[in-house]
Amino acid sequence: MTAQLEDLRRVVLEQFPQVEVDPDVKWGIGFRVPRESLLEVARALRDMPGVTCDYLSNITGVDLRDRLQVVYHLIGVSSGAKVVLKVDLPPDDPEVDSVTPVWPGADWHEREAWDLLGIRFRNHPNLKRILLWEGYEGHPLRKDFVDRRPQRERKVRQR
Amino acid sequence: MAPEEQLFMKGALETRAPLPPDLQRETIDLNIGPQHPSTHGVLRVIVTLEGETIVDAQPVIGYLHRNHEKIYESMQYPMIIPMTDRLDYLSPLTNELCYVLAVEGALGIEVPERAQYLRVIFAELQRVLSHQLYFGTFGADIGATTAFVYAFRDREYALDLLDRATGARLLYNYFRIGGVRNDVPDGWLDDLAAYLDYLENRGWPQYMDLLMKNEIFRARMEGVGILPPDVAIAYGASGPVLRASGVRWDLRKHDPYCIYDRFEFDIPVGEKGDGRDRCLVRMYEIRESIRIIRQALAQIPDGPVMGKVPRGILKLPKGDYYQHVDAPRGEVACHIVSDGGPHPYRFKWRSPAFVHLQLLPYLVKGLKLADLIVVLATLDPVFGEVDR
Repeated sequence: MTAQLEDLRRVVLEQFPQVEVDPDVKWGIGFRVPRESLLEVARALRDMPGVTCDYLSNITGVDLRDRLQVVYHLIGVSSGAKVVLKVDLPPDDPEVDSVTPVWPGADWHEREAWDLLGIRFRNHPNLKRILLWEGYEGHPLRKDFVDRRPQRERKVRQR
Repeated sequence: MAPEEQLFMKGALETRAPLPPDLQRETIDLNIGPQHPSTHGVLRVIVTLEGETIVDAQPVIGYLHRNHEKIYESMQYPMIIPMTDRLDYLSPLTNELCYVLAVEGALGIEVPERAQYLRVIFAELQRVLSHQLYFGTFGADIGATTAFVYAFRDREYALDLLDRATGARLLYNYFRIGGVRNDVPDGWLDDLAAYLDYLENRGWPQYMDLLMKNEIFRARMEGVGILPPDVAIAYGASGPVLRASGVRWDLRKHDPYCIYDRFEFDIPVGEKGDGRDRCLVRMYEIRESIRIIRQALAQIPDGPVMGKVPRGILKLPKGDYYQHVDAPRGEVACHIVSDGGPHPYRFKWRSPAFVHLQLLPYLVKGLKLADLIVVLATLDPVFGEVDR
Protein backbone atom coordinates (compact mmCIF):
# COMPACT_ATOMS: atom_id res chain seq x y z
CA MET A 1 0.00 0.00 0.00
CA THR A 2 1.41 3.36 -0.92
CA ALA A 3 2.02 6.12 1.61
CA GLN A 4 -0.81 8.12 0.08
CA LEU A 5 -3.36 5.37 0.70
CA GLU A 6 -1.96 4.87 4.21
CA ASP A 7 -2.61 8.55 4.90
CA LEU A 8 -6.10 8.27 3.47
CA ARG A 9 -6.86 5.27 5.67
CA ARG A 10 -5.65 7.07 8.78
CA VAL A 11 -7.60 10.25 8.06
CA VAL A 12 -10.84 8.42 7.27
CA LEU A 13 -10.63 6.21 10.36
CA GLU A 14 -9.87 9.21 12.58
CA GLN A 15 -12.65 11.30 11.18
CA PHE A 16 -15.23 8.50 11.08
CA PRO A 17 -14.76 5.99 13.92
CA GLN A 18 -17.80 4.04 12.70
CA VAL A 19 -16.05 3.14 9.41
CA GLU A 20 -14.04 -0.08 9.14
CA VAL A 21 -11.36 -1.13 6.67
CA ASP A 22 -12.42 -4.03 4.46
CA PRO A 23 -9.41 -6.37 4.13
CA ASP A 24 -10.99 -8.34 1.21
CA VAL A 25 -10.72 -5.45 -1.20
CA LYS A 26 -7.67 -5.74 -3.45
CA TRP A 27 -8.47 -2.78 -5.69
CA GLY A 28 -7.03 0.22 -3.84
CA ILE A 29 -8.43 0.50 -0.34
CA GLY A 30 -11.84 -0.61 0.86
CA PHE A 31 -14.06 0.75 3.62
CA ARG A 32 -17.21 -0.67 5.17
CA VAL A 33 -19.51 2.25 5.85
CA PRO A 34 -22.72 2.21 7.94
CA ARG A 35 -25.54 3.46 5.77
CA GLU A 36 -26.28 6.48 7.99
CA SER A 37 -22.85 7.99 7.37
CA LEU A 38 -22.45 7.16 3.67
CA LEU A 39 -23.17 10.68 2.44
CA GLU A 40 -20.76 12.29 4.92
CA VAL A 41 -17.98 9.84 4.06
CA ALA A 42 -18.60 10.32 0.33
CA ARG A 43 -18.42 14.10 0.69
CA ALA A 44 -15.28 13.89 2.80
CA LEU A 45 -13.59 11.63 0.25
CA ARG A 46 -14.52 13.86 -2.64
CA ASP A 47 -13.16 16.97 -0.91
CA MET A 48 -10.17 15.37 0.81
CA PRO A 49 -7.03 17.28 -0.14
CA GLY A 50 -4.41 15.18 -1.89
CA VAL A 51 -6.64 12.26 -2.83
CA THR A 52 -9.85 13.96 -4.05
CA CYS A 53 -11.97 11.02 -5.16
CA ASP A 54 -13.81 13.15 -7.67
CA TYR A 55 -14.59 10.39 -10.16
CA LEU A 56 -17.22 7.76 -9.51
CA SER A 57 -16.38 4.73 -11.59
CA ASN A 58 -19.20 2.37 -10.76
CA ILE A 59 -21.99 1.47 -8.38
CA THR A 60 -22.85 -2.21 -7.97
CA GLY A 61 -25.75 -3.60 -6.02
CA VAL A 62 -25.22 -7.14 -4.72
CA ASP A 63 -27.79 -9.47 -3.21
CA LEU A 64 -25.91 -11.49 -0.58
CA ARG A 65 -29.08 -13.35 0.53
CA ASP A 66 -28.83 -12.31 4.22
CA ARG A 67 -28.23 -8.68 3.25
CA LEU A 68 -28.02 -6.37 0.27
CA GLN A 69 -24.83 -4.52 -0.45
CA VAL A 70 -24.02 -1.43 -2.49
CA VAL A 71 -20.42 -1.13 -3.67
CA TYR A 72 -18.98 2.20 -4.84
CA HIS A 73 -15.75 2.30 -6.83
CA LEU A 74 -14.07 5.72 -6.67
CA ILE A 75 -11.02 7.11 -8.43
CA GLY A 76 -9.09 10.32 -7.91
CA VAL A 77 -8.40 11.59 -11.40
CA SER A 78 -5.50 13.82 -10.36
CA SER A 79 -4.10 11.59 -7.59
CA GLY A 80 -4.79 8.14 -9.01
CA ALA A 81 -6.20 6.97 -5.66
CA LYS A 82 -8.60 4.02 -5.79
CA VAL A 83 -11.19 3.66 -3.05
CA VAL A 84 -14.03 1.19 -2.58
CA LEU A 85 -16.97 1.86 -0.27
CA LYS A 86 -19.29 -0.94 0.79
CA VAL A 87 -22.63 -0.34 2.44
CA ASP A 88 -24.67 -3.20 3.89
CA LEU A 89 -28.45 -2.93 3.88
CA PRO A 90 -31.05 -5.15 5.58
CA PRO A 91 -33.18 -7.01 2.98
CA ASP A 92 -36.48 -5.86 4.51
CA ASP A 93 -35.56 -2.16 4.31
CA PRO A 94 -33.00 -1.70 1.54
CA GLU A 95 -32.70 2.07 1.57
CA VAL A 96 -29.59 4.24 1.47
CA ASP A 97 -28.88 7.90 0.82
CA SER A 98 -28.38 8.80 -2.81
CA VAL A 99 -24.90 10.07 -3.66
CA THR A 100 -26.17 12.16 -6.59
CA PRO A 101 -25.46 15.41 -4.64
CA VAL A 102 -21.81 14.35 -4.44
CA TRP A 103 -21.38 12.81 -7.90
CA PRO A 104 -24.19 13.68 -10.34
CA GLY A 105 -23.07 10.76 -12.51
CA ALA A 106 -24.42 8.36 -9.87
CA ASP A 107 -27.95 9.06 -11.14
CA TRP A 108 -28.30 6.24 -13.67
CA HIS A 109 -26.18 3.78 -11.70
CA GLU A 110 -28.60 4.17 -8.80
CA ARG A 111 -31.61 3.88 -11.04
CA GLU A 112 -30.16 0.65 -12.38
CA ALA A 113 -29.61 -0.70 -8.85
CA TRP A 114 -33.25 0.14 -8.05
CA ASP A 115 -34.46 -1.42 -11.28
CA LEU A 116 -32.58 -4.69 -11.10
CA LEU A 117 -32.14 -5.16 -7.34
CA GLY A 118 -34.83 -3.08 -5.67
CA ILE A 119 -32.48 -0.91 -3.64
CA ARG A 120 -34.08 2.43 -2.82
CA PHE A 121 -32.03 5.60 -2.81
CA ARG A 122 -33.27 8.37 -0.54
CA ASN A 123 -33.47 11.84 -2.13
CA HIS A 124 -32.73 10.55 -5.60
CA PRO A 125 -34.10 13.08 -8.12
CA ASN A 126 -35.82 10.56 -10.38
CA LEU A 127 -35.86 7.03 -9.01
CA LYS A 128 -37.61 5.16 -11.81
CA ARG A 129 -36.90 1.95 -13.66
CA ILE A 130 -34.30 2.48 -16.33
CA LEU A 131 -33.56 -0.75 -18.22
CA LEU A 132 -36.88 -2.48 -17.67
CA TRP A 133 -40.22 -0.84 -18.22
CA GLU A 134 -42.49 0.81 -15.67
CA GLY A 135 -44.94 -1.77 -14.43
CA TYR A 136 -42.47 -4.67 -14.47
CA GLU A 137 -42.90 -6.88 -11.42
CA GLY A 138 -39.91 -7.83 -9.30
CA HIS A 139 -36.21 -7.16 -9.50
CA PRO A 140 -34.44 -9.75 -11.67
CA LEU A 141 -31.01 -9.71 -10.04
CA ARG A 142 -32.42 -10.59 -6.62
CA LYS A 143 -31.52 -14.16 -5.78
CA ASP A 144 -35.13 -14.99 -4.90
CA PHE A 145 -36.47 -13.69 -8.22
CA VAL A 146 -38.80 -16.07 -9.99
CA ASP A 147 -39.32 -15.76 -13.72
CA ARG A 148 -43.07 -16.00 -14.16
CA ARG A 149 -43.03 -16.21 -17.93
CA PRO A 150 -44.28 -19.53 -19.34
CA GLN A 151 -41.57 -22.04 -20.23
CA ARG A 152 -40.68 -21.97 -23.88
CA GLU A 153 -41.10 -25.17 -25.82
CA ARG A 154 -37.78 -26.85 -26.54
CA LYS A 155 -37.33 -27.86 -30.13
CA VAL A 156 -35.12 -30.93 -30.47
CA ARG A 157 -34.38 -32.34 -33.87
CA GLN A 158 -34.97 -36.10 -34.05
CA ARG A 159 -32.53 -38.07 -36.11
CA MET B 1 -53.73 5.20 -20.43
CA ALA B 2 -50.43 3.84 -19.14
CA PRO B 3 -48.04 6.43 -17.66
CA GLU B 4 -45.62 5.81 -20.53
CA GLU B 5 -48.30 6.57 -23.07
CA GLN B 6 -49.42 9.61 -21.15
CA LEU B 7 -45.90 10.96 -21.34
CA PHE B 8 -45.83 10.18 -25.02
CA MET B 9 -49.11 11.92 -25.66
CA LYS B 10 -48.45 14.82 -23.31
CA GLY B 11 -47.21 17.15 -26.00
CA ALA B 12 -50.04 16.43 -28.36
CA LEU B 13 -52.70 16.86 -25.69
CA GLU B 14 -51.24 20.05 -24.30
CA THR B 15 -51.19 21.80 -27.63
CA ARG B 16 -54.88 21.05 -28.13
CA ALA B 17 -55.98 22.21 -24.69
CA PRO B 18 -56.92 25.90 -24.36
CA LEU B 19 -54.02 27.90 -23.00
CA PRO B 20 -54.39 30.04 -19.86
CA PRO B 21 -54.48 33.71 -20.85
CA ASP B 22 -51.41 34.59 -18.77
CA LEU B 23 -49.28 31.94 -20.45
CA GLN B 24 -46.94 33.71 -22.81
CA ARG B 25 -44.72 30.89 -23.92
CA GLU B 26 -45.51 27.25 -24.37
CA THR B 27 -43.30 24.22 -24.56
CA ILE B 28 -44.02 21.07 -26.49
CA ASP B 29 -42.70 17.57 -25.91
CA LEU B 30 -41.27 15.91 -28.96
CA ASN B 31 -40.53 12.23 -29.06
CA ILE B 32 -37.46 11.16 -31.02
CA GLY B 33 -36.95 7.44 -31.53
CA PRO B 34 -36.83 4.65 -30.46
CA GLN B 35 -36.03 3.99 -34.08
CA HIS B 36 -34.28 6.87 -35.68
CA PRO B 37 -31.50 6.64 -38.25
CA SER B 38 -29.16 8.91 -36.34
CA THR B 39 -29.48 7.49 -32.85
CA HIS B 40 -27.05 4.62 -33.64
CA GLY B 41 -29.38 2.04 -32.23
CA VAL B 42 -32.60 2.10 -30.32
CA LEU B 43 -32.63 5.23 -28.21
CA ARG B 44 -35.62 7.35 -27.43
CA VAL B 45 -35.22 10.97 -26.41
CA ILE B 46 -38.11 12.99 -25.02
CA VAL B 47 -37.27 16.56 -25.92
CA THR B 48 -39.04 19.54 -24.40
CA LEU B 49 -38.94 22.37 -26.88
CA GLU B 50 -39.66 26.05 -26.68
CA GLY B 51 -39.92 26.99 -30.29
CA GLU B 52 -36.86 25.32 -31.67
CA THR B 53 -34.78 25.67 -28.51
CA ILE B 54 -34.28 22.65 -26.30
CA VAL B 55 -35.42 23.17 -22.72
CA ASP B 56 -34.88 19.59 -21.63
CA ALA B 57 -33.99 16.27 -23.20
CA GLN B 58 -34.50 13.00 -21.36
CA PRO B 59 -33.01 9.86 -22.89
CA VAL B 60 -35.09 6.70 -22.44
CA ILE B 61 -33.05 3.52 -22.73
CA GLY B 62 -33.52 -0.19 -22.26
CA TYR B 63 -34.81 -1.20 -25.67
CA LEU B 64 -31.86 -3.56 -26.17
CA HIS B 65 -31.78 -4.87 -22.61
CA ARG B 66 -30.93 -8.58 -22.39
CA ASN B 67 -29.75 -8.62 -18.77
CA HIS B 68 -26.31 -9.95 -19.53
CA GLU B 69 -25.50 -9.81 -15.85
CA LYS B 70 -28.24 -12.28 -15.01
CA ILE B 71 -27.26 -14.60 -17.86
CA TYR B 72 -23.64 -14.69 -16.65
CA GLU B 73 -24.77 -15.94 -13.25
CA SER B 74 -25.56 -19.30 -14.81
CA MET B 75 -22.45 -19.52 -17.02
CA GLN B 76 -18.98 -20.83 -16.35
CA TYR B 77 -16.12 -18.38 -16.63
CA PRO B 78 -14.74 -19.33 -20.08
CA MET B 79 -18.28 -19.32 -21.53
CA ILE B 80 -18.64 -15.61 -20.77
CA ILE B 81 -15.96 -14.45 -23.23
CA PRO B 82 -18.14 -14.60 -26.39
CA MET B 83 -20.97 -12.94 -24.46
CA THR B 84 -18.81 -9.89 -23.75
CA ASP B 85 -18.52 -9.29 -27.50
CA ARG B 86 -22.23 -8.50 -27.63
CA LEU B 87 -21.96 -5.53 -25.30
CA ASP B 88 -20.01 -2.96 -27.22
CA TYR B 89 -20.25 -4.65 -30.57
CA LEU B 90 -18.09 -2.02 -32.25
CA SER B 91 -15.14 -2.78 -30.00
CA PRO B 92 -15.58 -6.36 -28.76
CA LEU B 93 -11.88 -6.98 -28.15
CA THR B 94 -11.56 -4.39 -25.41
CA ASN B 95 -14.55 -5.91 -23.60
CA GLU B 96 -12.94 -9.34 -23.84
CA LEU B 97 -9.67 -7.86 -22.63
CA CYS B 98 -11.30 -6.33 -19.57
CA TYR B 99 -13.00 -9.59 -18.67
CA VAL B 100 -10.00 -11.89 -19.16
CA LEU B 101 -7.76 -9.50 -17.21
CA ALA B 102 -10.20 -9.60 -14.30
CA VAL B 103 -10.28 -13.41 -14.24
CA GLU B 104 -6.51 -13.70 -14.70
CA GLY B 105 -5.96 -11.23 -11.87
CA ALA B 106 -8.21 -13.28 -9.60
CA LEU B 107 -6.53 -16.59 -10.42
CA GLY B 108 -2.98 -15.24 -10.74
CA ILE B 109 -2.49 -16.61 -14.26
CA GLU B 110 0.67 -15.60 -16.11
CA VAL B 111 0.22 -14.63 -19.75
CA PRO B 112 3.10 -15.40 -22.17
CA GLU B 113 4.98 -12.49 -23.72
CA ARG B 114 3.81 -13.07 -27.28
CA ALA B 115 0.19 -13.15 -26.17
CA GLN B 116 0.70 -9.91 -24.24
CA TYR B 117 1.95 -8.21 -27.39
CA LEU B 118 -0.81 -9.70 -29.53
CA ARG B 119 -3.37 -8.39 -27.04
CA VAL B 120 -2.01 -4.87 -27.25
CA ILE B 121 -1.86 -5.06 -31.06
CA PHE B 122 -5.44 -6.27 -31.30
CA ALA B 123 -6.81 -3.86 -28.70
CA GLU B 124 -5.22 -0.90 -30.45
CA LEU B 125 -6.30 -2.10 -33.90
CA GLN B 126 -9.78 -2.29 -32.41
CA ARG B 127 -9.48 1.31 -31.26
CA VAL B 128 -8.47 2.37 -34.77
CA LEU B 129 -11.45 0.50 -36.22
CA SER B 130 -13.87 1.92 -33.72
CA HIS B 131 -12.73 5.49 -34.28
CA GLN B 132 -12.87 4.99 -38.04
CA LEU B 133 -16.45 3.87 -37.75
CA TYR B 134 -17.10 6.84 -35.52
CA PHE B 135 -15.67 9.16 -38.16
CA GLY B 136 -17.86 7.61 -40.85
CA THR B 137 -21.15 7.54 -38.98
CA PHE B 138 -20.54 10.93 -37.44
CA GLY B 139 -20.06 12.37 -40.91
CA ALA B 140 -23.31 10.75 -41.98
CA ASP B 141 -25.06 12.24 -38.95
CA ILE B 142 -24.09 15.79 -39.78
CA GLY B 143 -24.86 15.32 -43.46
CA ALA B 144 -21.35 14.77 -44.80
CA THR B 145 -22.04 11.36 -46.29
CA THR B 146 -18.74 11.14 -48.16
CA ALA B 147 -16.92 10.55 -44.88
CA PHE B 148 -18.82 7.32 -44.47
CA VAL B 149 -17.44 5.95 -47.75
CA TYR B 150 -13.87 6.89 -46.89
CA ALA B 151 -14.05 5.35 -43.43
CA PHE B 152 -15.58 2.10 -44.62
CA ARG B 153 -13.10 1.81 -47.47
CA ASP B 154 -10.24 1.71 -44.95
CA ARG B 155 -12.12 -0.28 -42.35
CA GLU B 156 -12.58 -3.10 -44.83
CA TYR B 157 -8.82 -3.84 -45.01
CA ALA B 158 -8.59 -4.03 -41.24
CA LEU B 159 -11.68 -6.22 -41.00
CA ASP B 160 -10.07 -8.60 -43.49
CA LEU B 161 -6.96 -8.70 -41.31
CA LEU B 162 -9.04 -9.48 -38.23
CA ASP B 163 -10.97 -12.07 -40.22
CA ARG B 164 -7.75 -13.84 -41.16
CA ALA B 165 -6.49 -13.90 -37.58
CA THR B 166 -9.69 -14.59 -35.64
CA GLY B 167 -12.13 -15.97 -38.18
CA ALA B 168 -14.75 -13.28 -37.66
CA ARG B 169 -15.39 -9.75 -38.82
CA LEU B 170 -17.56 -8.46 -36.02
CA LEU B 171 -17.62 -10.63 -32.90
CA TYR B 172 -14.14 -12.05 -32.56
CA ASN B 173 -14.09 -14.27 -29.46
CA TYR B 174 -10.30 -14.19 -29.62
CA PHE B 175 -8.87 -13.54 -26.17
CA ARG B 176 -8.73 -16.43 -23.75
CA ILE B 177 -8.16 -16.67 -20.02
CA GLY B 178 -4.37 -17.12 -20.09
CA GLY B 179 -3.59 -15.77 -23.55
CA VAL B 180 -5.17 -15.64 -26.98
CA ARG B 181 -6.93 -18.39 -28.90
CA ASN B 182 -4.44 -18.86 -31.72
CA ASP B 183 -1.30 -17.30 -33.08
CA VAL B 184 -1.68 -15.04 -36.08
CA PRO B 185 -1.15 -16.59 -39.54
CA ASP B 186 2.21 -16.32 -41.33
CA GLY B 187 2.81 -12.91 -42.82
CA TRP B 188 -0.07 -11.34 -40.89
CA LEU B 189 2.13 -8.97 -38.91
CA ASP B 190 3.77 -7.71 -42.13
CA ASP B 191 0.38 -7.12 -43.69
CA LEU B 192 -0.67 -5.21 -40.60
CA ALA B 193 2.45 -3.04 -40.85
CA ALA B 194 1.63 -2.33 -44.51
CA TYR B 195 -1.92 -1.39 -43.54
CA LEU B 196 -0.65 0.99 -40.87
CA ASP B 197 1.64 2.67 -43.41
CA TYR B 198 -1.29 3.08 -45.76
CA LEU B 199 -3.54 4.42 -43.04
CA GLU B 200 -1.05 6.90 -41.68
CA ASN B 201 0.13 8.25 -45.03
CA ARG B 202 -3.08 8.16 -47.04
CA GLY B 203 -6.22 7.35 -45.06
CA TRP B 204 -5.77 9.47 -41.98
CA PRO B 205 -4.69 12.69 -43.78
CA GLN B 206 -7.74 12.29 -46.00
CA TYR B 207 -10.03 12.13 -42.95
CA MET B 208 -8.50 15.32 -41.66
CA ASP B 209 -8.74 17.15 -44.99
CA LEU B 210 -12.24 15.93 -45.70
CA LEU B 211 -13.92 16.76 -42.43
CA MET B 212 -11.80 18.04 -39.57
CA LYS B 213 -10.21 20.93 -41.44
CA ASN B 214 -13.35 21.59 -43.45
CA GLU B 215 -14.61 25.16 -43.00
CA ILE B 216 -18.28 24.14 -42.98
CA PHE B 217 -17.63 21.39 -40.46
CA ARG B 218 -15.78 23.77 -38.16
CA ALA B 219 -18.54 26.33 -38.33
CA ARG B 220 -21.05 23.60 -37.50
CA MET B 221 -19.17 21.99 -34.66
CA GLU B 222 -17.24 24.68 -32.85
CA GLY B 223 -18.84 25.73 -29.58
CA VAL B 224 -21.59 23.10 -29.80
CA GLY B 225 -22.14 21.02 -26.67
CA ILE B 226 -19.37 22.43 -24.48
CA LEU B 227 -18.42 20.19 -21.58
CA PRO B 228 -16.27 21.84 -18.87
CA PRO B 229 -13.67 19.53 -17.25
CA ASP B 230 -15.12 19.67 -13.72
CA VAL B 231 -18.58 18.72 -14.96
CA ALA B 232 -17.11 15.92 -17.07
CA ILE B 233 -15.35 14.39 -14.06
CA ALA B 234 -18.35 14.83 -11.76
CA TYR B 235 -20.55 12.98 -14.25
CA GLY B 236 -18.00 10.19 -14.61
CA ALA B 237 -17.12 10.89 -18.23
CA SER B 238 -14.07 9.01 -19.41
CA GLY B 239 -12.09 8.26 -22.53
CA PRO B 240 -12.23 10.70 -25.45
CA VAL B 241 -15.16 12.61 -23.95
CA LEU B 242 -13.18 13.47 -20.82
CA ARG B 243 -9.93 14.06 -22.70
CA ALA B 244 -11.64 16.45 -25.12
CA SER B 245 -12.43 18.62 -22.09
CA GLY B 246 -8.72 18.98 -21.45
CA VAL B 247 -8.25 16.36 -18.72
CA ARG B 248 -5.14 14.31 -19.48
CA TRP B 249 -6.35 11.02 -18.02
CA ASP B 250 -5.87 7.68 -19.69
CA LEU B 251 -5.99 4.35 -17.87
CA ARG B 252 -3.30 2.99 -20.20
CA LYS B 253 -0.93 5.50 -18.60
CA HIS B 254 -2.39 6.12 -15.15
CA ASP B 255 -3.34 2.59 -14.14
CA PRO B 256 -1.38 0.50 -16.65
CA TYR B 257 -2.64 -2.96 -17.51
CA CYS B 258 -1.21 -5.52 -19.96
CA ILE B 259 2.16 -4.13 -21.04
CA TYR B 260 1.16 -0.58 -21.91
CA ASP B 261 3.90 0.78 -19.66
CA ARG B 262 6.47 -0.43 -22.23
CA PHE B 263 5.23 1.82 -25.03
CA GLU B 264 5.66 5.47 -25.68
CA PHE B 265 2.58 7.39 -26.66
CA ASP B 266 0.90 10.72 -26.03
CA ILE B 267 -2.58 11.41 -24.73
CA PRO B 268 -4.31 13.84 -27.08
CA VAL B 269 -6.51 16.34 -25.25
CA GLY B 270 -8.91 19.02 -26.42
CA GLU B 271 -8.98 22.66 -25.45
CA LYS B 272 -12.60 23.68 -25.17
CA GLY B 273 -14.49 20.43 -24.77
CA ASP B 274 -16.89 21.18 -27.62
CA GLY B 275 -18.10 18.82 -30.31
CA ARG B 276 -15.14 19.48 -32.59
CA ASP B 277 -12.67 18.68 -29.83
CA ARG B 278 -14.37 15.37 -29.18
CA CYS B 279 -13.98 14.48 -32.87
CA LEU B 280 -10.39 15.66 -33.06
CA VAL B 281 -9.33 13.75 -29.95
CA ARG B 282 -10.61 10.55 -31.52
CA MET B 283 -8.81 11.31 -34.77
CA TYR B 284 -5.50 11.89 -32.99
CA GLU B 285 -6.03 8.74 -30.94
CA ILE B 286 -5.95 6.79 -34.21
CA ARG B 287 -2.45 8.12 -34.78
CA GLU B 288 -1.33 7.27 -31.25
CA SER B 289 -2.72 3.76 -31.64
CA ILE B 290 -0.75 3.35 -34.86
CA ARG B 291 2.32 4.42 -32.91
CA ILE B 292 1.70 1.83 -30.21
CA ILE B 293 1.10 -0.98 -32.72
CA ARG B 294 4.32 -0.09 -34.57
CA GLN B 295 6.32 -0.34 -31.34
CA ALA B 296 4.62 -3.63 -30.49
CA LEU B 297 5.38 -5.01 -33.95
CA ALA B 298 9.04 -4.11 -33.51
CA GLN B 299 9.29 -5.79 -30.12
CA ILE B 300 7.04 -8.85 -30.42
CA PRO B 301 8.90 -12.07 -29.53
CA ASP B 302 8.23 -15.62 -30.70
CA GLY B 303 6.80 -18.16 -28.33
CA PRO B 304 3.58 -19.71 -27.07
CA VAL B 305 0.34 -17.72 -26.96
CA MET B 306 -1.37 -19.57 -24.11
CA GLY B 307 -0.16 -19.67 -20.53
CA LYS B 308 -0.75 -22.32 -17.89
CA VAL B 309 -4.41 -22.36 -16.90
CA PRO B 310 -5.72 -24.63 -14.11
CA ARG B 311 -7.31 -27.76 -15.51
CA GLY B 312 -10.94 -28.57 -14.96
CA ILE B 313 -13.70 -26.12 -14.14
CA LEU B 314 -12.37 -22.67 -13.31
CA LYS B 315 -13.39 -21.41 -9.88
CA LEU B 316 -12.53 -17.94 -8.67
CA PRO B 317 -11.59 -17.66 -4.98
CA LYS B 318 -14.24 -16.03 -2.80
CA GLY B 319 -14.07 -12.26 -2.95
CA ASP B 320 -14.66 -9.42 -5.33
CA TYR B 321 -12.58 -8.38 -8.28
CA TYR B 322 -12.58 -5.18 -10.26
CA GLN B 323 -10.76 -4.45 -13.49
CA HIS B 324 -10.95 -1.43 -15.71
CA VAL B 325 -9.46 -0.79 -19.14
CA ASP B 326 -9.45 2.16 -21.49
CA ALA B 327 -11.76 1.19 -24.33
CA PRO B 328 -12.30 3.38 -27.41
CA ARG B 329 -15.43 4.83 -25.78
CA GLY B 330 -14.04 5.32 -22.30
CA GLU B 331 -13.56 3.37 -19.14
CA VAL B 332 -14.93 -0.16 -19.41
CA ALA B 333 -14.88 -2.00 -16.11
CA CYS B 334 -16.16 -5.29 -14.82
CA HIS B 335 -16.87 -6.14 -11.21
CA ILE B 336 -17.02 -9.84 -10.41
CA VAL B 337 -18.29 -11.03 -7.04
CA SER B 338 -17.42 -14.68 -6.52
CA ASP B 339 -18.61 -17.05 -3.82
CA GLY B 340 -16.00 -19.63 -4.75
CA GLY B 341 -18.27 -21.50 -7.15
CA PRO B 342 -17.95 -22.17 -10.87
CA HIS B 343 -20.28 -19.28 -11.79
CA PRO B 344 -19.94 -15.60 -10.96
CA TYR B 345 -22.17 -14.77 -7.99
CA ARG B 346 -22.71 -11.27 -9.31
CA PHE B 347 -21.31 -9.64 -12.40
CA LYS B 348 -21.51 -5.95 -13.15
CA TRP B 349 -20.39 -4.09 -16.24
CA ARG B 350 -19.51 -0.44 -16.15
CA SER B 351 -20.03 0.77 -19.67
CA PRO B 352 -18.85 4.22 -20.71
CA ALA B 353 -21.71 4.95 -23.09
CA PHE B 354 -24.25 4.36 -20.30
CA VAL B 355 -22.53 7.03 -18.24
CA HIS B 356 -21.98 9.44 -21.13
CA LEU B 357 -25.61 9.36 -22.13
CA GLN B 358 -26.47 11.01 -18.80
CA LEU B 359 -24.62 14.08 -20.05
CA LEU B 360 -27.05 14.58 -22.93
CA PRO B 361 -29.55 16.80 -21.02
CA TYR B 362 -26.69 18.92 -19.70
CA LEU B 363 -25.08 19.32 -23.12
CA VAL B 364 -28.10 20.12 -25.24
CA LYS B 365 -29.96 22.50 -22.91
CA GLY B 366 -30.37 25.79 -24.75
CA LEU B 367 -29.26 24.46 -28.12
CA LYS B 368 -31.45 24.07 -31.18
CA LEU B 369 -33.18 20.82 -31.99
CA ALA B 370 -30.87 20.17 -34.93
CA ASP B 371 -27.90 20.16 -32.55
CA LEU B 372 -29.33 17.30 -30.52
CA ILE B 373 -28.35 14.67 -33.07
CA VAL B 374 -24.91 16.19 -33.49
CA VAL B 375 -24.21 16.32 -29.75
CA LEU B 376 -25.49 12.78 -29.33
CA ALA B 377 -23.16 11.64 -32.10
CA THR B 378 -20.14 13.26 -30.44
CA LEU B 379 -20.77 11.09 -27.37
CA ASP B 380 -20.52 8.01 -29.62
CA PRO B 381 -22.95 5.74 -27.78
CA VAL B 382 -23.32 2.06 -28.66
CA PHE B 383 -26.59 0.69 -27.40
CA GLY B 384 -25.39 -2.84 -26.93
CA GLU B 385 -23.42 -1.63 -23.93
CA VAL B 386 -25.83 1.06 -22.77
CA ASP B 387 -28.67 -1.42 -22.35
CA ARG B 388 -26.61 -4.55 -21.72
